[in-house]
Parts: sequence; C-alpha cells; structure tokens
Amino acid sequence: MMDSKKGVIIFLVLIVVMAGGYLFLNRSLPAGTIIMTSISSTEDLTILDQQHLKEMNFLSTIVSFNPHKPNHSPKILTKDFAIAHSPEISEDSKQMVFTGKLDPDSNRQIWLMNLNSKRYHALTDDSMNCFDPFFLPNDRIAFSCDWQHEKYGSGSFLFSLEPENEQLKRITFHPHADHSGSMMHDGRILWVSKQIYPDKERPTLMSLRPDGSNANLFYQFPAEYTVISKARESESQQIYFTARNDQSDSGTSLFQFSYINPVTSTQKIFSTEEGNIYSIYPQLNGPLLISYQESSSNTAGLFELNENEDSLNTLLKADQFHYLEPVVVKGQPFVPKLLPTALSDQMETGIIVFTEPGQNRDREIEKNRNTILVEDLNGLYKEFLTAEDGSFYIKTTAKVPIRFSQLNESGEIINGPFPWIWVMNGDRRGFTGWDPMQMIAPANLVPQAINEPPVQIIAPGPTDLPFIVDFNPALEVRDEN
Amino acid sequence: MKIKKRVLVLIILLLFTILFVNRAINWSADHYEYYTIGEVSEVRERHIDALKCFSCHAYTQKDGFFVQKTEGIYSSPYNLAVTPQDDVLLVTGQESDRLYMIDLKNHQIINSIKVGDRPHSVIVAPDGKMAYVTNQWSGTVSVVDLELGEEINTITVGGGASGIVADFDRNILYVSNTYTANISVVDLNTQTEVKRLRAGSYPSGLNISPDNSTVVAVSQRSVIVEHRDPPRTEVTIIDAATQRVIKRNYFLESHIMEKVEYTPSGDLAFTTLVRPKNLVPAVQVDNGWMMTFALGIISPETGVMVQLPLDEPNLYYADPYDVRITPDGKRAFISHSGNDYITALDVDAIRDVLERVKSGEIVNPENDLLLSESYVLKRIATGSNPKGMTISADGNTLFVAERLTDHIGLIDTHTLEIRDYIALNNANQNAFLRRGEQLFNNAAHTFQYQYSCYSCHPDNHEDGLTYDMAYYPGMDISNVQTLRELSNTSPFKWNGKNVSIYMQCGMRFSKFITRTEVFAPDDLKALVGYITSKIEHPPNIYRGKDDELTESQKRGKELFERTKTNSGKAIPVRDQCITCHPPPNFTDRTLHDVGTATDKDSHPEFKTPHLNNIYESPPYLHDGRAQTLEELWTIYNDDDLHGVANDMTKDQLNDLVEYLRSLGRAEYYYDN
Repeated sequence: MMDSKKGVIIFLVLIVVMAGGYLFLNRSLPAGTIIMTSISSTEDLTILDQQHLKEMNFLSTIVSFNPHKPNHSPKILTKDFAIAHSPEISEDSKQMVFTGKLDPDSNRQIWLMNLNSKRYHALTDDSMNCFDPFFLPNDRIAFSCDWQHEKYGSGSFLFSLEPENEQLKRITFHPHADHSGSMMHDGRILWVSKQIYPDKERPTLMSLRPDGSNANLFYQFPAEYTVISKARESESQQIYFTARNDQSDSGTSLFQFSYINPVTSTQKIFSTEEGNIYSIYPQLNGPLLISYQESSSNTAGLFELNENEDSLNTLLKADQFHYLEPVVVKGQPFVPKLLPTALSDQMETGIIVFTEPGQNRDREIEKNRNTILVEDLNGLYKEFLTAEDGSFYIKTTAKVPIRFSQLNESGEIINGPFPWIWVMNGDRRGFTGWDPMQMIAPANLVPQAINEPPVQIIAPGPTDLPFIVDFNPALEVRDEN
Repeated sequence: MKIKKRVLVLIILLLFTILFVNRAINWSADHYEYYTIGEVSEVRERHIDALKCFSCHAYTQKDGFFVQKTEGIYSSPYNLAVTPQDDVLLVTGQESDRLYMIDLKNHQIINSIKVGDRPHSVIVAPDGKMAYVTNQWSGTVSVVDLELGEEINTITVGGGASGIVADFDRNILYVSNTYTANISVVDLNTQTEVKRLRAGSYPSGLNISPDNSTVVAVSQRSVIVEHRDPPRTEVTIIDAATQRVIKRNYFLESHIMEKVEYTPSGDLAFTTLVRPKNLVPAVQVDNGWMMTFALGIISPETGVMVQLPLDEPNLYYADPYDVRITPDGKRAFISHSGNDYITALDVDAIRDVLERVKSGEIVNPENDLLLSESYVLKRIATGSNPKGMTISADGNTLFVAERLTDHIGLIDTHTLEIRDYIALNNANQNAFLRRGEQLFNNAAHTFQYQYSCYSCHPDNHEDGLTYDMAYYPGMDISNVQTLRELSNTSPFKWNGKNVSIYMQCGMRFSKFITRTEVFAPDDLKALVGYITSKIEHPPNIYRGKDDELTESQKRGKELFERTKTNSGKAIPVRDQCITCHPPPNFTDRTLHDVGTATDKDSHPEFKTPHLNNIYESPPYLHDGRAQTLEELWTIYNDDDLHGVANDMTKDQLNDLVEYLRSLGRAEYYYDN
C-alpha cells in the first residue's frame, strides 16, 4: 500500500516537473519584447544608403530584447543561421517569419519560427533568392523573390504562401522590383515598387489585395528622396517611412503621410544631417520605435521618438552591434482586415473598364474618340479606337502585364503610358482618367464602350511569359495552377 | 442483473444516437448550409460559425417573444430645434412618437409630449411658445403648446409629412409631403391646409431665405428619367409672397437631398447629396467607383448649382443628412449618418472654391477626391447615426441627434470639440436588434467606408435606381428592391439565387458588394434580425379611411382576380395575376419567364417580386425599364406574357393600377 502510494506521488511529481519544464522551455515572449536584426558594428552600414538590406551579406542575427529588463542583453533567436534579418511577427505573436541563410553561400530563404519552442523551418527552398517576409491575415505569409532576365533586367515579385498546405502564389506580375511589404489596416498590402522595364523609374508605394488583384499606385515619394525603410501604418492611420536625400551625401529623414489622403499630407517629422534612420515601427499605444544612427562613427540603436515633443528616448544601444528592423511582441498597431477574394480560377481572363472623367449628358460631351495603344512585354501588341466618350472596355489574359497610351490623330502620345497593370483570373478593374493616382471618381454615366463586346487583349499567357525567373520548377507548376 | 440492464440501456442509447441524432445533426447542417451559402457541402465540412437554430427561428420573428423581451424602448432622436431664448431644446423621437423638451441649463428632460406617428421635424415659433411637428406616418402636423406641454391641434397635410418651415411674417407653414410628392401650404391663422405644390420626388428638406422672399425644397429621389440616364433630383424654388413654384432646378448625377440651409446672407443654400455611380459598372469600390457624397450649393437667384465633394481619397463620409450654418456664416456642419461623423466646413473657403469653379480654374469639382481638403476644417466623431442638427441662437453650440444611441451631442462650434451629451433614456443601446439597426446604417462594413446598406436603401426602402452589378458590364442590370417587410418573401435577388437574408448579407455580399471583411457571425445575426423583423411599410396613402377600397380599387381587384377576358375567354390559371401574385405578400416566391428579359439579361426568368406598397417603388421590372405601373402593360407586355391585359380598356387599366396602388402591408391580408 505504502509503496503504491509513494509510486503515485512520485509519478505525479514527475508529471508536474515535466509539465513545468515544458512550459518553461516553451514560454512565450512577454508582451513588449522587441525582436530585431542585430549586425556587427564592424559592418559598414552606409552602403544601406544606396541599397536594400536584402542585398547585403552582413553577418546578421535576430535577437529579442525586453525593454522592461534593460540590463539584460538581447538574446539570439537565430543562432543556427549565418545570416538572419527582417523579422515580422504574426498577429498572435506566436510565430515569426524572417529572411535567412543557414549557409552563407546559399540563396536567401524565408523561414518560419515558433517563438515559444524556437523551432523553425524553411518556407522556400534554395532555388530562389527570397526576402522581406510579412504576415497576411489568416496566418498566410507574403514575401519577395528575385527575378532576372537578360532582356528585362532584374527585379523581384511578391508571393503569398499558405504554410499549412504550402500553396505558393505569385501576386505581382509587372516588370518591377517589389519589396519591403507590410499590411495596411484595410487588409491591403503596401510595398515599395520600382519599374525596371522598359525604363527604370523612381520607387513608389503600391497597394494590392492579398489575392493579387487591384494593384494601384498608392503614394509617390517626395522628389529628391530615396526610400530606405519599409512603409508602416500606425493605429491612427498615419504611414511612416525613412528616406535619404539624394542631393546630400549624408542624412536621412523620417516622413509620415495620412492613409486617408496620401497625395497632399506628407510631413517630415524628424531628420538627421549626419546620421541615418534605418527603420520605423509604430507601436500600439506607444511612441514610434526607430533604428537610428547619430553619425557614421556611432552604431545604430533603438530609440523611441516622441513626436509631440520631438525628443528621442534611448532604448538600446551597444558599441558592438547595430540594431535595426524592430518589431514588438503584442505591439502590432492593428489587426488588418481579412479581405475576401472575388477571383475565379475557372477563368483565364479579367476585364478592364476605362472612363474619361467629367462628362455629363446635360453638358456637351466632348468628342473624345482616340486611339489606345496597348503594349505587353514584347512591345506593341494592339491598337484600337475608344468609344466616342473616350471610354474603353477590354478583356485581357490574367497575370500578363500590359500598359496603355492614348494617341492623338497624328499618332503622338498625349497620355501615358499608364503604369503596367494586370488582372487576375476573373478579376475586374476600373480606371478614370490618365492620372496614375486615380484621384477622380467616375462620372455617373454609362461608359459607351460597354455597349459593345470587350476588345480582346489576349496577350501571351503566363507559360509563355518572356521572363521566367530562376524558379524551382515544382514551384512554377504550383504557381500556374 | 442490474449491471446487465444498465449496459443494455447504454447500448440502446448509443444505437439511438448513431441512428437518429447523427441524422439530425446532418439534417440541421444541410439545412443551415443551404440557407446561408446556398448549397450543401458534399464533403461535410462544417462551417465554424456561431449561427444556431435560434438565429433564424427566434431572432427574426417579428413581434416574437424574443424580440419583445430583449429590445429596449428607444427614442431614436431624429431632428431638433432650439427655442430662440436658447433655453429649451426640442427633439423629435422617431421611435417613441414623442416630442422631447430638454432644459438646456441642466440638460434634463422636462417634458415628453405625445405627438403623431413617426415624428420627423420640428420648428419653433419666434416667441418660443408654440412648436410644430411633422408626423411622417400620420401625414399630419402636431401643433404643440410648449407652455402647456401638450399637443393642442393636428393639421392634416399630405402623406409622409417630413420637412417643415414657417413664414411667420405671413403666417404660412410649408410642409414637405414625401410620399405624395408635394408641399402643403398651411394657413397658420386657420390651421388648415390651403393648397399643395407639386415638388420633385420624395420632397424632404425645406427652408426659407433670410429675407423671407423664397422657400427652397429639396427631394430625396430623382425624377423619373429615361432608362439608364443619370439621376436628376429637383430643387424646388417657391415664391413666398405668392406661395407658387417659380423655378425647378436639378442636381445631376445625385440624389437623397435630406435638408437645406441658407447662408445668413441668403445668397447661397447648402444641401447634402449622395452621388451614386449606378450607371458605372460596379467593377470595384476603390477610387469612388460605387458612391461618393457631396455638398450641394444652390444659388437661388442665378440658378447656379455646384456640387463639392465631402470625401477623401481613401475614406468616404457616407449618407450625409443635415447641414447647418453658424449665424455668422463662417462655418457649416454636416452630419454623416453613415459613418458617425460631423464635418466642419469653412464657408469662406467654399466661396473661394466656388469662384475658382466659376472662373474655370477648377473643372468637374464634384468628382475630385482631393478637393475637400480645401474647405474641410475637421471631422468630429459622434455616436451612432447622427441625423438632425441645430445651432443655438448664440451660435456657440451645435446640437446633434445621435439617433441610434439615443443621445444628443453638444459640440462647441469654435473649438470643434464635443462638449457634452444628453441621454434621452437608459435603454440598452447594444441590444440585439438595435445593434442590427446600427450596422444597417453604418458604412464600416464597406471598403473604405464607402456606403452603408442605407445608401442604396434609404429609409429601409430602395433608392429608385438601377445598378450595373453583374460580372460583365452592361449585362443583368438590376433594379434595387425594397427591404420593407421581407419575411416570407424569399428567395431574394431578381434571379432568386439567395434563399435567405443570411445568404444575401453574408460571404457573397462581402465578396462582390462591400469588398471587405465579412460580418462577424454575431453582427450578421443582428443585421439579419433587424432586416427581417423591424422594418415596416409606412401606411399606404392610397387606401381610404378604415382601409376601405375605393370603387375604382374594387373594380381593379376584380380585374386582378379575373379568370376570363372581356370577351369571355378563359384565362389559363398560370396567366392569372393572382396565381403569381397571391396575398398576403403578392408573390408566389417562384421564378417565371414573363417575357420581360432582354438581350442584356443572361436568364429569362425572374423571381416574382412582392407587391406590398408597390406604388412607392418606381421604376419597375427587374431592370427598371418601366417608369410607371401602367407601362408594365402599355409598353412591356405585347404578348400578354406578364398577365393577360391587352384586352383591357384604358379605364380598366386605370382601375387595375389603382388597385395595385392600394396593396398595403401583408398583415392586412392575413386578417382579411
């Protein structure tokens, strides 16, 4: 009897100890913990002025730091990795995605880590160079991967992935370099996009639904500034980014603009003449977190910027390390909306309706019948006449980029070329006028073009895309399905 | 033995569970899936959703036990007036049928006066002793003695009495009769109506110029226009000296003007507008492709009409209702009942923009989403569904009726900050159906807050427009249908594809209409509960006293129910009106091909619409081609496929139309 009782007690104690050990080892990071990239101070960060972090081969790790215990050193989360950077945290703060290389000579890959157990696995393989991951609603993940082509140059696409079934989808389809994505509260992706072909253009911010539809120009960076950081939205719907002045050899500025009116609300809220501001993170119910380097002889540290008082509060600074790209556990400023998709995989095409602004039946309708020139990546594809009111209605192949120009009677371009656009399967797009920012709502008139069947723009389909990136063929098959 | 019995009982119970309970679960899952997504999942994936049996079978029962026990008694403040002495605020309680008198010193309700059915607007006499309240469902004006604190007289006017303004110098009262599309002119000396003036479609707001020379009336709905022409909504100008209409101007591409206000100088009048994009293919919501909202500016003297946008590029300010201007003419305020904001405007900046429009510097201002930053001072967040407003005589305080929180908000017109609230009662504003009503009237569930359910269904009805919503532009044009008294009228949509309101407002709605996150299950339940159990038809204005039919309507009823033509030939049962349109809702809830499809329709069959209060829903047919009920047979029924009517005489057709106009609420036909 006594022995069996002892046995039971020992057994129960063992259970409690094991459970406690398991919980201890798998304990979550406390709310407010900052997770960030740490780079050795021996690395010269000034190169970041011209290039994105993804192209650097800095030896970097991802560390966590509890600002409530400032005497504790940051803890390394990615000790197995030769290079690890650009962390992002899931909505429930239980998972982290980041860019990393186990082998310094391999391509960059996207990794997913459980922040409790610290276990990780790759979401992409070594055949693609991928970076800048972030979470979409419903625990899906988006990221960028490089493309290269002898004719079109090199850039990057955005992809989305459902980790559970590993369904990988490409979601941008233009000849651009797409990177530095983040989520807006309205459920759309915001990312830095730069046209590569046919001409290299200045980077802009674009917005997109996570299913790849409705890609729009969202914001044009101030002239003479080159963006450095991701753009991030705060809970008060202000969007922040850092940029370097092209006219000066040094110094960066922190800008904000309003989500509600991105065109006329840009403000510079902080700048430094000698140093650099690398990253920004708007915390929930807290001041802005910035990664700031006072001068090239200092390391980049973490600071809180109090906008109202224009003051900086040091959170973490070390002589041996630069700290960049902070994110905060349970500090996400909002939960982005889960947007539904209206796309249909059963359809190979999408439609586009274009209207001219401001016509009204009681005023004289200007005769706006013009020629529209459509280009695809091979050059001129088609010309057609608009309806008399200047509208046109086309059906075009899904996931194939095209762009339009408007010609006068002499064949000169009077508007455009409009930025590259694409439609997704079963997608529908509308445009009013030739301003890429689309700040004019359509007039309430039936576009005359829809009285006829759509003009067919059946450009070569995805399998014939002239620039196939260096994909893993298996992934390519998934993409086209 | 006992153990054996227990084991046997357990086995029997287990068998029972396997045989019957499992079947019951499968049946209920199929039943649930069918009514929410329109199909039964073949792979038996159970949707993780809080929708339960109770959701449909209790929450949506109009006047049911559950509804009665969980909902509060609400005031639903609608419009306001303040006495000239700034001592008493008068508030119409749309749901309580009361006029509230609030002491502005201590913010206490000092009286709650019973008035007519659905009180709408209130004005106060210059001496502060008398008030006049329009009662929209009674079709009357209550004359209220504020000193006695009671209604002392009612004046009968037209159907749907709403807006009201007085010319106290001439002792004339003007009342907008929304349902009868005219304005009553009332002699205040005799307190009787002396004449009516035709005015637009669904006239609503009224106001008089500061010099008492003109009265301006605005309308909610567009006048009838050619099929697929943009809406044109009338602004009626009345000469106050003669009480005659002297001008009819029109705002183009817009409608739902609710209120109107003159500037103190009298040179301009402001109103609010909804600018639908019903003619534009609904390919997206972004960039104002479904709906925008504007301030309408009328110059009564010159007739110049300008529309200035109220929205911003990535945020819209849905369902503007009232507009008020401070006594110094410097600031204007607009209540946005669709997204719970008040917009404060700089009137001088507006005048500057008007000059730039006049000079041609600004072209097409109405669609320029960047323009509003020129004149918007501030957006002030309020409680749910801000409607009517009034400004204190000293110009310092703006009072706002927050209809669905039963509050009156007080805003400082200088600092543009909220100063205080006055609660009209302590009813639970988060009760289930109340929450559903709040959701119905709020644009938060549309991408960038671009429109609410109310935007296309003002007053829970329909907006009289047709929309291009199908995948292929120009195809399957759809006439908006009313949301009043939808119980027992499923399926929904003209193609009958939505078998329930849950399906109508659920995932499909989110994918194709609102383009944003689907309603949370509890919100969806509340919204559906509200739609199916709380929205009523107003009284039918064509029915006689005691609901008696007129002689013409009785003849029309015979024609509606006839089984033989004029020549004695038998009409097949399938072609008799009453077959497809039986009472009480006058729909058989089935799809039929009645020869009304065109080459723009992808299918020939349409679900039979219900006909209760059909007179207030022009235009008609699935695509809105028929401008009147009469046209259904005079233009669109050559082959007698939509009822045998070609043998009817003109008088018979008139009688039939009169009868159709008399078709009222379903409950009348249950009882009779």
